[in-house]
Amino acid sequence: MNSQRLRYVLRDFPNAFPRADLMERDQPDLVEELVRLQLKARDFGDRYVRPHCVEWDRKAGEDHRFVAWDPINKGCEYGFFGVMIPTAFGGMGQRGPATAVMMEELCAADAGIANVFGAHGLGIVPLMLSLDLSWFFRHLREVTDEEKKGNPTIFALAHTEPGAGSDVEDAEFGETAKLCTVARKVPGGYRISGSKVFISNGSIARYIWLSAVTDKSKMLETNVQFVHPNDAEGFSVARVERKLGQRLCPAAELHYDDMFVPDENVVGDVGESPRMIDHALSITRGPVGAIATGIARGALERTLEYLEQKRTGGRWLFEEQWVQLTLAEMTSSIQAARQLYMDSVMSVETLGFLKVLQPKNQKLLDLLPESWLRSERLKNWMANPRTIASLKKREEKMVSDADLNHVVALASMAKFMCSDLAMKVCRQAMEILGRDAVDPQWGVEKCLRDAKLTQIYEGTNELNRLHVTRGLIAKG
Amino acid sequence: MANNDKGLVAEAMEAFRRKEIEPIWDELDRPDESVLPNLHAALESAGWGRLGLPEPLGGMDADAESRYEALAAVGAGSPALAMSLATHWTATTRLLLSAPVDSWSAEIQEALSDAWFALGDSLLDPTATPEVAARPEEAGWRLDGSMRLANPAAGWVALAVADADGAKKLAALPINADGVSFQPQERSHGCGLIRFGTLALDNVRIAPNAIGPYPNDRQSHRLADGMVAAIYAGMLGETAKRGMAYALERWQGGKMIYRHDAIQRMFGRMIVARDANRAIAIRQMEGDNEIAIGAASALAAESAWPSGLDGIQSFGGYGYMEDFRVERYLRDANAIDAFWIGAQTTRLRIAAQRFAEMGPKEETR
Repeated sequence: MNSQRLRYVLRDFPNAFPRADLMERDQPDLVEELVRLQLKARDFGDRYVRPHCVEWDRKAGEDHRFVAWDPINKGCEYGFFGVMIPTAFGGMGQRGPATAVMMEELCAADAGIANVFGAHGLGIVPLMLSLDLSWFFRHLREVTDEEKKGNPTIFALAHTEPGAGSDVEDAEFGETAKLCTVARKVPGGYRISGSKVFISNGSIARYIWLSAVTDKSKMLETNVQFVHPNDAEGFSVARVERKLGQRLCPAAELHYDDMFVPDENVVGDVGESPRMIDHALSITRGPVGAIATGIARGALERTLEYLEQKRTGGRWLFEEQWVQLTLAEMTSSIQAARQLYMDSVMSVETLGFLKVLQPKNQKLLDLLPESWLRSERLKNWMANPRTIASLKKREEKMVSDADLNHVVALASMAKFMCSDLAMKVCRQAMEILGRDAVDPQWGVEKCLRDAKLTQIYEGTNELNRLHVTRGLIAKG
Repeated sequence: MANNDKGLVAEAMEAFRRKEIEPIWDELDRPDESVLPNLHAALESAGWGRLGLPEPLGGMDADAESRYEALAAVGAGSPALAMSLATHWTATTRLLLSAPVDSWSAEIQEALSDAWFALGDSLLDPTATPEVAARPEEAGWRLDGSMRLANPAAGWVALAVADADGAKKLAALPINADGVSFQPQERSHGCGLIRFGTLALDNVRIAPNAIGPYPNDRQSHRLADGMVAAIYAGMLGETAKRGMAYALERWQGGKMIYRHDAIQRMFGRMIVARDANRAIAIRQMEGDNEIAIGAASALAAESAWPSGLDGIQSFGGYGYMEDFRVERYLRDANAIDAFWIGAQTTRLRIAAQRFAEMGPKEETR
């Protein structure tokens, strides 16, 4: 017998999340949808990514400007660029749990390719947070229209600066941040100069969400957000980074040399409230936990593929007790990580920002005729300051400070725990492979390189730990 | 070499690192095949290539601390180069523990004086079962089998083989001998200077004086254990040094980051790991029989794991980028553990050996 079959039983959604049985009682449609989306992401990963990702990673290692456009373009067929965009505007209309389950699945195939879609979603989040729903009529409509033609219209989020990494992830730290990207008010808009670093999708994005300040000493009060196209005069991609892992999602340094952005491309209000920073963190960090969990699962699955073929001293390596002990720890870590990230994304639905944009509102939009959904009148109504103000009041009323602290803490916990566990699982996978671990053909060492970034981006794990304590240990 | 020379050794290796390794940093991960031989030649001409060789081969009879400092200094610049030194010194030492120089064939004697050797044997486990079989014939031996090999641009290999009775022996042969092939893998997770691959022997004929008994003396295994721990110490020390220099310049969270407890915690772990490992590694190289063979490098690999990661973590996003020159240490540390140590299986082996020494009682149901 030249091989043996080893199957990971907890691969599928209902098995991976025992809570699905409870969910199914109250929300059977949701569970069915999550299963469907997971299988969709798996189909994509198994067909278009897994067979090639090791080779693509090698190419990207040799030439950091290499972009694997085939799977990215293919992502259009699967609707990955419109995951969070309401169905009324051509997207999938999905929310936190679905995004997270899909990201776990995509990352089990390859975290770099998955992060192209993930970072794209990240670029869209601030537009949703602005509660100016007219954005759905503008660039986001373009995303879904072009996606249907097979053209990816990619977003990126340009926030991190050379002198401010953690500082832009925290309202308190932001007060003393050493920022360099400055916006100057001019007639009709702003002129922006400065630079941003480590921007995922930065070199391939069509639209970039950008943050800048009008006064460097006052990050919160003078923060302004913009969306600009990649062909704006004064904008340039200064370099594409050579990274340890997640190489298939390019990270770029972006330069702004007096770039003009019209007022109509300002996102939200001038001045960033700590509340909105927290909302952003609560939405984005849980899915990073899913990314890390997916990478860990990918390492486990590749280890099983290796064990299916490996004999040593006349026995299957799988039969060694130390291997079985290690596999138990790996599967348990993945299972624990999953519950953490699912808790996080669900809490955003029930306690956090997504309470404000409820599914029933989406369903109302679905009832509107297409002509209305493309009309200037509806767009202008949504962009009306009174409409936005009313949504903001709703947000303040529906999400208490205590609940917001809670969801940020859960998101931060998911992020740092899942990423630490992913590193542990990947290392255990390498221990099992032994001497073969240094050989990239098994894909395991790539998982470890990919996992490391999850401990760094979306706030380093050290900062995330502080957010957990702040959110979950009450004073007094 | 007198004990007070270890400072000179460290200084000289540090100078070598700055002159020969730092300028070619970017080439070290994906080098062309001339890079490692050139570095070996530079070490030889600087006089340091023989530091760890046995005296009969012109070695410098360096004491344990000197060897430790030398390998730590080289490991700080290029862990792969340091591993090529460690495996070469181990291979040659093991051959001389097997049999005196003049009992080997003339060809092997010549190779021992000027060629580089790969080690086709477990670096740390004296009980490892050879993967190559040796059968005697009228005018020598025939070798068959295959094994994973790390070939640091070596022309020769010291190879552990098993005869028909299962007795372990040690052979020496050129890597380009008839019937020998080395199939390198395309690239590696870490230690990019070294070509990892599979060595295959197909009915390879060797002379009678190209094979000797496997040395019972565990000296070369102890030395190897300490040397690998020294290389880890070099990596840890370097990532700590770079990280701390960065922390003294970087502002985040309202202060210079070295003032944050989170950062101090990271570097505390690294310094404690490095300093604790040093003590055990040197004792191991001095031949302290109380320390299990493999313990020093297993401890180094395991304690380097969280603290080596901290080396990258302290740089934030910069640590993840190749240009900042820290991420390679993580990969090299992983590669050394995966290929030469196997910290987890080393622990199992150490425990099994101790149980065997204690003399298990007859098993009854």
